[in-house]
Amino acid sequence: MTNLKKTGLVFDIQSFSVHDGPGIRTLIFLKGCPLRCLWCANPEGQKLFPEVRYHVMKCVGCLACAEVCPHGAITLFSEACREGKKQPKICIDREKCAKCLGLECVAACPNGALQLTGKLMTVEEVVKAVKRDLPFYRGKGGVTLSGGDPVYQPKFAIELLQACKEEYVNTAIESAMFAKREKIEKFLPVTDLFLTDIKHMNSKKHKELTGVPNELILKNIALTARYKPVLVRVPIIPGSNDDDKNMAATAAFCLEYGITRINILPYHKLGVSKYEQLGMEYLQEEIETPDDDKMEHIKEIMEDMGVTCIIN
Amino acid sequence: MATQLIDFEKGKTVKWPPTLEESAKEGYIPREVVKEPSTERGRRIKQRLLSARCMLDPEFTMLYTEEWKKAEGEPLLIRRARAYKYAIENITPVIHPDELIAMQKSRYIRGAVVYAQYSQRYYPGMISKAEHADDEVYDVGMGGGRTHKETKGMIQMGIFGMKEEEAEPLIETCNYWDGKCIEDEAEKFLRESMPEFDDLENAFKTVLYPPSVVAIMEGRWIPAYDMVVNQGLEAIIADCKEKIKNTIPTTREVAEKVIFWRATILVCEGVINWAGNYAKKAREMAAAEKDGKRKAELIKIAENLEWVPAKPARTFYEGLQAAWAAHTAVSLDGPIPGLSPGRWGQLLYPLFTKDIEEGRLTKEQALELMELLRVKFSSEEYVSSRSWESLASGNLFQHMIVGGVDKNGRCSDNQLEEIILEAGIRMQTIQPTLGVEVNTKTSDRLLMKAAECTKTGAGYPAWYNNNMSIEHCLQNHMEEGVTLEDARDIAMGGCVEIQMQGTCHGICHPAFFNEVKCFEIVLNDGVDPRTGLRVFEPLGEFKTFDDLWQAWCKVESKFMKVYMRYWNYVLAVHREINPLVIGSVLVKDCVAKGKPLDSNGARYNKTVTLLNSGMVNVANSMAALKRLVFEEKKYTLEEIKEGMSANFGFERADKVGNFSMLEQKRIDRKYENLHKDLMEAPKFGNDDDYVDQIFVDLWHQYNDTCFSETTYLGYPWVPAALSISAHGPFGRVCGATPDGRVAGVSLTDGILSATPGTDVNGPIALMKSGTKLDPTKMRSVQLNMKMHPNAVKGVEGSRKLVDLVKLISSKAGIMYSLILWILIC
Ligand code: SF4
Ligand code: SF4
Repeated sequence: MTNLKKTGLVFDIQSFSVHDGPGIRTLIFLKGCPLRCLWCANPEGQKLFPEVRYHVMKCVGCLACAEVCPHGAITLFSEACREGKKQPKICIDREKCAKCLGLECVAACPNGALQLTGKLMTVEEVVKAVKRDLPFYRGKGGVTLSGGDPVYQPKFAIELLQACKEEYVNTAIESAMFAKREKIEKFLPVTDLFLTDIKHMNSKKHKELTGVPNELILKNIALTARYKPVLVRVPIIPGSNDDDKNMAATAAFCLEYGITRINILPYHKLGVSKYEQLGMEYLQEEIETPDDDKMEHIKEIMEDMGVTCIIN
Repeated sequence: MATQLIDFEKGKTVKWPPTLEESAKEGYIPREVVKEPSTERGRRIKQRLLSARCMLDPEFTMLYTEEWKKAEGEPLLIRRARAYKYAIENITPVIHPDELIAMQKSRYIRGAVVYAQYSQRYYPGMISKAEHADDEVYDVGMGGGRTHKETKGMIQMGIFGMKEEEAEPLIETCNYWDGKCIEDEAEKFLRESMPEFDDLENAFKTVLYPPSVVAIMEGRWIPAYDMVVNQGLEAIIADCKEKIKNTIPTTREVAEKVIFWRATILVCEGVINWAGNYAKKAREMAAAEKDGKRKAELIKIAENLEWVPAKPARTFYEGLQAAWAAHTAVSLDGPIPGLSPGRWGQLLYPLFTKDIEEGRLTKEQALELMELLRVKFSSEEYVSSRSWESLASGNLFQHMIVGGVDKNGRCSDNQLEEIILEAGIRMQTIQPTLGVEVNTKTSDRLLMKAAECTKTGAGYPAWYNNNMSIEHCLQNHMEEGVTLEDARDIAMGGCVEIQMQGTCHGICHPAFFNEVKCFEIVLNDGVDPRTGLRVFEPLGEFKTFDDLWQAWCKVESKFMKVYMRYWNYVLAVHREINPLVIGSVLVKDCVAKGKPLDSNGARYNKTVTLLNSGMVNVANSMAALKRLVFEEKKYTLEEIKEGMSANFGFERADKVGNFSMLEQKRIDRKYENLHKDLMEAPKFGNDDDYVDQIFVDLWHQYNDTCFSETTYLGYPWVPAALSISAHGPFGRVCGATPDGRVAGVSLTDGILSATPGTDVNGPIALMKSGTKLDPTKMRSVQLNMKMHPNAVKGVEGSRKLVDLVKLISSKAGIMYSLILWILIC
């Protein structure tokens, strides 16, 4: 029996997605991820605790937030910039916030300038949202757990997937697969489709780009592919992983484990404003989005080796 | 553990996402959609339309008036028919270069015909460029590159140009109608006989109702084009002659039939002669034409018009010309915004297949004709007061429909309908707007084509829930003995109003009821805060939410009733001085019964509707008050009202120069917390029963009030829910509201749409909120959805869009119409 009271940290539920899996889907974003990809478009998914997003444009510098903050984390940024619209008006000491449980500032702000990212939800609450979408799945669609990385909150994620299975909902997870084998094994029976990335075939390079080596990831992909459909996605990051050699190696790896479909995704500079709101730094250096010719070229390399390659 | 891993899906390859080739294998052709008209001719004509100046054409009304004067003393229907016949026989036939389908209302590439017999009031004003008192409120939809430079011999009237030499005679014509036109006559009638006349005046002054729409008052309907295309007007004339011969005028009622048939003969002859004028014109032009190809085309046009609309069409080309002639002839009869072609793909399909089979026609030719037809529809403009134009965005709402089922309930979509959609993709003009009737039986092939069309970003087609629309017709027309066959033959009359084809009286309405203004009056103890007018007796203190609710019901139902009654007076005048003749002839069973539309001649007459705008704002406002004032008691009603009159500390929207809530600026922080609490109160569109229930109750109250009143045809009023663009101008005259909206900001548009930014749980939650309202008794319920182009990219995207639409129709089963806007970012 599923434990419906189990809680997890969810930062978004998107109904009606037409990406991220077949059919019309509900996306559930879980907080927390062991990787730190330089180009991460969902930085709010990285940390495994709730965070406050600060919207400069809405802030009027009234300091109502500072008044209620029990940790003295908020100070006036500077008197001089009070008038400017784009200048931050307050300074948030993120280290103090990391230990904050009350998050009193969010409710205190009358202008909606402080918003909470990450909310504790029970499996039951999430399933309720899923059920609302149920009539729209029609065989093909379903639920996709994303993040962050759902494998980073394994107990909650598995309970949730289990609960979905009890409603006969098709399930998918989007995971980096950086976890112990035993954890991944637990996902196998409750997950119908695994969406995962191969960011680089060279472990050292992989570590430079994401902060972790790739051996465990590749092993898990190989394991999963024996039992469940796996869709491999390769983000194409110009200058980092888009060389022909790496592309060919990626295709070869997939073929070896019977994965015949690879999705290549051109790099886009996304989510930059979220970095600012979270007080984080965007580390990916300035690069261009790869053009269509480049993408076609990679597709050709992969297809020559016998995989089906889709650009999207 | 190992056993657990065994799963029946093991080894099954997921083919997701599919490649383009796989999609193509399943019969879907990928193309991201930007297309041009299919021929050079089409491109030229489109360009010509786009660069044409909008012209006002008073020729018809002047000719009409001339004969109307001469026919004084004739029975009314004869006098009407004579005036129409004379006017249509004498208007100038114009055939533009390159055209293949001829005939038009005005003499211009883009023109609007004047109808002084409806309302003479504003032409003299327009000519002298007098400002109207309502300009400030109703100037939306003006400007936007629609003005033209002064040209010699031309005067500018609003967005229209007019020949200078016609100003004088037009003013003369207007002078004749001064005191006699429908609007003036109705006002006399109202002033003298309506007990609630003061309430009516107050309601207009406070903009509970928008200014009069009499100038464009005719309803929206779909004529019985088959009578012209398949039978021909000569057959109708012969039928009437036969009837006259066999009828002895006994009682007044029988005598009136004979008069109606005589009038029918006159107008049909008029239309045939008008076509004859065009044929003659085409022959003259052919004689003078040097280019051999164009000469042949002109001769073909002449041959067509020497045959149709008098006789039954023999080819697709003739059929299209005949249908267009019928459409134009009816729309000349009066200002009919929303006269809709309906299902021409069904109407013309037999001629189309016959021509294709016998090698007379290629699909490419059919496509070109359908593209050119779009330009014909788009050439017709209408003129109305500035205020209405802003309410309806100047749109003529001629709606063409594909999909649906045949009379036996079988899927009826066909190749010609695909061509109609393709023409919509290639020739993107605002008219006719397209709609697709989605039945559970409709083919994916047609829907994929429609998705392609949606993806052009043209704003059409609208998607309709065919099964539910049929249900509505069966329910709505039950007391008139509606047949299942008729109920299945539906299209849209006007923008999103369900209408059976060729058998219904027009859907006419006095316009929109301003729900938010009504709520302001309730909260302000019966006084309109903007004008200071007391329009309702004091309502007393609201101690409970129920007190507030009761007061709402009292005020709303009173002013809705006044509005409906007002319209009955107007229509009674219409019936006495301006009953439609050709409009009636082409609606079944007017000729059979010998009665015009205004005397219940149509097979179905329960069609008069009432529209409103702003219900979501009222629902959200009530929910906020219920929670914060009556339940949590966090604020008193007075405190909230104080915040409202201080506009919650925001700059006035007209000073900000933007009427969207998201752009408003706070200048005083005093009401910050109050405003936050109001904004955080439950909002419609999130599947939250607290507010959704209020929303549903509000609609039930509205519906019940509609049903409690009787139309001029003796049937209950029908509630309809669509707001077109009334939410803009209505918002201007309304102060801040307890849903957090500040003064002047537009009301929430659409009917099941959430206030922008307040639906935070996604589209399904929005639909769930909407599902709580059973729309079967309502004429139209509309949901606008916006999608990002990326979400529907490629064939896979189209398929998801189609799935979505099908699911919304079959599972959610709520609204009749879904308008999907693909945002181009
Ligand atoms: S974040 Fe909110 S509470 Fe804090 S200073 Fe800005 S507006 Fe005031
Ligand atoms: S999150 Fe906690 S510590 Fe950080 S500013 Fe808000 S109340 Fe203070």
